[in-house]
Amino acid sequence: MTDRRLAILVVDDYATMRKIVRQLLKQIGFSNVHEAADGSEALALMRDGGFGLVISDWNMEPMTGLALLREVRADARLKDTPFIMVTAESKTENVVVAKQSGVSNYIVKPFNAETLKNKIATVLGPLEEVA
Amino acid sequence: MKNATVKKRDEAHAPDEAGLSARVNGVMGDMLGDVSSINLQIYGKLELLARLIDRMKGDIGRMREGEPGRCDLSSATDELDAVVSDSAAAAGAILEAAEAVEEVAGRCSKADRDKLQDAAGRIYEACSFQDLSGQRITKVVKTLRQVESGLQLLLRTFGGPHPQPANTSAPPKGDAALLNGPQLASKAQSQDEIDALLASFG
Repeated sequence: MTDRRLAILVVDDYATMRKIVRQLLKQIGFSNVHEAADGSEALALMRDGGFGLVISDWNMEPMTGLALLREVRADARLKDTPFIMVTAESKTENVVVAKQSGVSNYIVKPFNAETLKNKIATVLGPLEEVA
Repeated sequence: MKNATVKKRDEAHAPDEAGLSARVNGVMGDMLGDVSSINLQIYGKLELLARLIDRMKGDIGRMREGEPGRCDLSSATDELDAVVSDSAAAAGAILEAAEAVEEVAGRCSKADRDKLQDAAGRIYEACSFQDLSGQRITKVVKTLRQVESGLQLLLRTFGGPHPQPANTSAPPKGDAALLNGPQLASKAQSQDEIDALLASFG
């Protein structure tokens, strides 16, 4: 069973979206949630260590979610970190490039809590029901 | 006063004006014959193009002079930027209200708590509209700014002494070509389609 205490990093340049994902994660039972407004900030936080999952937007500046994913997969200490892309980019080529770059799963916006929960379970393993 | 040798040399090399005139007239006559056989439609189109350019120059001149009704792209993009920031503020306020509902839900009976938390969850999901609409509007603003840049170039070209190089918006390449933002509902792939695509990787 997945430990709901694991630290999750939410990366999105829209503060509203970070808040939404945080609240949805809380509803699923994950409350150890941290935020970053872009890929560069996320990478710096990740290098400080300790994240069990990254949930990232794609379209951000200066570092996109795709660039962040590639940096994570290229870093020996971070390369096995589960990474879910949550994005409005829904074209086939986007999904293919993300998969080839090592994404663990891909959620297209808009999404709901059930989708988020299912994708996290796919990546991390079964989630026990929240009391 | 030229000496006799120079004068003689000049006379030897002097153009035969009468002969030259005859030759020119001969060529002109040949050309006129060819002109009549050239496709008159091409001339018609060239004339139309010249008139369009003249009209465009007039329109651009009026734009410079601030004629009423001219398109003010700068203020339009400012308005759209304001829509994005205002909707972000509104979504933030809605989320805070949903959080307050969740806090109260914690003190309710299980049945009421479940209902309230479900409602709060639906509010969070619905508020993601702000993210998508913000991205769509940002795409529009980017396009408008490119149009504005092109128009400014035309203004400078037809009136300014130093036209700037055009902001040639060549199609993006590499990773930049993947930054398309939200697609229209009729074109966007569903989560199920994306799941199937991911699964095809094995």
